[in-house]
Amino acid sequence: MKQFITLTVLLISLSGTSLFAQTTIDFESFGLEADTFLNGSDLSGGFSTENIFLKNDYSVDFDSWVGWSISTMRDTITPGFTNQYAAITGSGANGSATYAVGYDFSGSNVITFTDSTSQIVEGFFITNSTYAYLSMLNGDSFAKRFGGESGDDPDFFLLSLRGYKDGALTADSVSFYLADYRFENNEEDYIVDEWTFVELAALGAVDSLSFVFYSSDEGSFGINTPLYFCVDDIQLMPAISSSTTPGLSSSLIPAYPNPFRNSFTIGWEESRSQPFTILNLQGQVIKKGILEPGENLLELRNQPEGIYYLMVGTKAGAIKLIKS
Amino acid sequence: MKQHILFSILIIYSLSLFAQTEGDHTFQLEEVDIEAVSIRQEQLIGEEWRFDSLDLARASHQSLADLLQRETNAYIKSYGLGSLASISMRGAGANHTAIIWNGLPIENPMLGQTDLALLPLVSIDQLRVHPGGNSAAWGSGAVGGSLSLDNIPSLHEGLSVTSSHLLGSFGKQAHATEFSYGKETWSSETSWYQLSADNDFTYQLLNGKERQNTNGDIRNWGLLQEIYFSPSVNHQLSATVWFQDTDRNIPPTTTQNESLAFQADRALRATLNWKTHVKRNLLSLQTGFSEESISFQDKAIRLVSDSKVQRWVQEINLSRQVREQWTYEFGYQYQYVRAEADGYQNMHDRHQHAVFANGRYQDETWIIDIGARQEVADELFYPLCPRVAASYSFLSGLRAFGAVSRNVRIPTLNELYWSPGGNPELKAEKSWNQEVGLAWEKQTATTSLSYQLTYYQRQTRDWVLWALQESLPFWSAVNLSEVHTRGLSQQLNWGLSGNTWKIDASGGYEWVQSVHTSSLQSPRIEENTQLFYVPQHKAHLSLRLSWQAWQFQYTHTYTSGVETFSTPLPSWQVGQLFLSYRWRMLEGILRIDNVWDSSYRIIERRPMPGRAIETGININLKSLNMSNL
Repeated sequence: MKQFITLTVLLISLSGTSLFAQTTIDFESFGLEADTFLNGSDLSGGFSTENIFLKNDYSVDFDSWVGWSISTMRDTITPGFTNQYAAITGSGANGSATYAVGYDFSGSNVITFTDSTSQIVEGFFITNSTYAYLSMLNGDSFAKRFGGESGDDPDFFLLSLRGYKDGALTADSVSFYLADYRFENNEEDYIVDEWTFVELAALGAVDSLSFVFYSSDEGSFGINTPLYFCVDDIQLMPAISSSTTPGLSSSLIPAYPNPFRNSFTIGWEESRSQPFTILNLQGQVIKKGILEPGENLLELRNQPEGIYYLMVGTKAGAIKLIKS
Repeated sequence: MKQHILFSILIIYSLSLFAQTEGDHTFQLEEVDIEAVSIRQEQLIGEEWRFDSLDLARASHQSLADLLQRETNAYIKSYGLGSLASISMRGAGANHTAIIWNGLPIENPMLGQTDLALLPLVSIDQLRVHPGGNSAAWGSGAVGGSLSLDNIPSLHEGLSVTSSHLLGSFGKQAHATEFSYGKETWSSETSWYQLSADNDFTYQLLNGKERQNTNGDIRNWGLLQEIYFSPSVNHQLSATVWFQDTDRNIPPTTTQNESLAFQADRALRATLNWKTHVKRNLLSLQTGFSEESISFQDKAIRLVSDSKVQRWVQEINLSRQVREQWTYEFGYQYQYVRAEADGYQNMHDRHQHAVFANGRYQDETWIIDIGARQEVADELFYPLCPRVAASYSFLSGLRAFGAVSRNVRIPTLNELYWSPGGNPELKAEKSWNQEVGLAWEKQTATTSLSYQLTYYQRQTRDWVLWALQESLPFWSAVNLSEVHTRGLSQQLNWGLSGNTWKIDASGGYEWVQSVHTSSLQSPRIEENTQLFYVPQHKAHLSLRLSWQAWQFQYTHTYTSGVETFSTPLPSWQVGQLFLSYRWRMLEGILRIDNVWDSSYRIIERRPMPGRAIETGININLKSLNMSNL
């Protein structure tokens, strides 16, 4: 049964990231000077760093691009597409200089992993581009100011993050609102203007990620809101077995308590037993076993505090467990 | 390019030599008793909306867009007061109307259209609106209809000076002065006009609150020089030069906090025309030049986008009347277009040749027009465009008419070359137009009444749309759609006059259904849905009263709702009042636009102004004796 579940994004504080000991891709290796960018005009087709590849499609004929650019632009003031490479934060995540800018309107914007194994992406930091942010805040000649003429329009700008494994879409997606004006109280309306961590482990092991935009400001010619966003500090778990099926969701398999101290219970509601594996953040197998129908008490008594992942043989994805 | 121009000049020059040889004799010829006319200049079959100088004077210091919206069935898509305005005739698009100034095309070749807000009525003496396709006469773009804007020589001898000044709401000021001088063989007219407006009107938002329009001011001035020289009754030489300069700020949309956008439009247009009548022949040689530049700037987004397009047109046209009933004409036109734009990667040019032929049979009951035009652009032959039209008069004042024509629109330079998305492989749009109609007219010494009903349909193939294609990561121009159009147009005129008074009423109503015959994904268009910004219904009614020195006119316009790119717009209606009083050489006018203070929008998120009052004075000094000056 194909399951498609949209998870509510868990926004964690910057201090919380210290828990993660995984590989972090921060784009600083491109060595860009301040206020410069790479937009694919060298026709390389994209940007490789660590083991990821950010696709770029640059048209020489039309001097235009889609996909990804790498940027150190700091302009948080200038609206419009002439400032399409800047993040509204004026820097990369955690004060760094370099970040990636995603632009796409056809759903083909992807990040792929260059090695043959799948990855669990713990998450990354995301924020609005200056172009999209100021367009939603003030409106422009094409796109509306969010809230509309009255200020009450329930506008939104949503990014749907999806994982692929062996060319197939994984079961889950993660939704992140780059702007949300759907609140009854307009004072709660927001447009993201800080680097915000988006947790993606729920997508499970994937070999590529794709990004699809949704906006309330849409017409026959597509979305009017500028389809840009910025990404930094992509945090990867080490490679895991390619036989692992991604896409499992903790909303389908109850795990409690979570966070746990020494043990936790898994409610296995299916009629047949299934093997399970628990990995640590380094991708090492900590525990293996069989899930029997009903409740299964599992112990990680001798393991250090931190994040672990439970993977079930025939089920997609991984369940995040926190030992505290 | 040189070869093309040289070729064209040689043809025209050699023909003019031939004509001159003939002309050497014609100077000694007896007075011409039967004049041949250019068939395409005198459309006799089908709909026509004609506005003479008196009609245009009532709308002085307004634009062509204002008049057409108010007093014809054409639909004007206006971005707001003084902002870009384009025309849709018979359910066609903005670049499906040929705009002809003194016989030469003036639509911008980059855009395939002309901003009608930048065509002030003070710059022309006559306007004729011809709905219906006629590429056989006017070539590419004459699909939905054609507009003929003409300057006409004054018949007045001596010096005359007219000057008009107007003040209005929203900081509007307009001034125009014309000097004309005529003698036996020549006349000269020099016109200068200037308009400025703040356009700081207040409009209503959707939640009922009010907001003031900002950054909407416009400054426009122009200079028009006409010279007419007739050495004999058989010869006329005319030269016209028209320069216009417009600076416009572009206001924010209703969902935009602020706009710093600005656009400057400069246009220089010139024509030189020589006509000679030789017995039953009319030979016309015409050359024209135009240069239009548009500079768009937006300080907020640090964008400057400039474009400039130049066009040379040369045309030779020979009309010949054979016996009483038959007239035919042959013509050749050469156009050279050269365009530069920041949106182009290189300069682009186009050589366009056209040959055309028309024949007309006319007697007391029948008028039959047969014509065809072949266009060749950059050695590419576009489809032959024939047109057959006939009119038959029967009973008393009744007339039935019909026409069939094939029409084309050659892609604009932007559709071909704009970066990104321009597609040099685009084909021309091709359409077949059919129309039938019935007209009735009755006239007595004191009354006149006429009514015309026209049904038309049009099938357009290879309609160009900007669309997403799988292979390209941006919107690009493609021959994507087929559009089927059908409609019903009605026109009514009534007049009653007495010794010191006159009442006129005129009205029109048009129903049009113009739909894509199949659904599209990007842009998202459902099958059989109306084209964007093409209303299904439009109606207007004008009532004019003249009594002694007073003139009064009320015009009411209704336009049904339109499909837009996102949210449909509701219908709207506006009224306009005009009052004038003439005393000797002076005339005072009062005009109230949008008299009922309607809140409406023609373009989504672009508000239109509420009630606006204008008052002005016209001074008409004629028969001034030069020696007294």
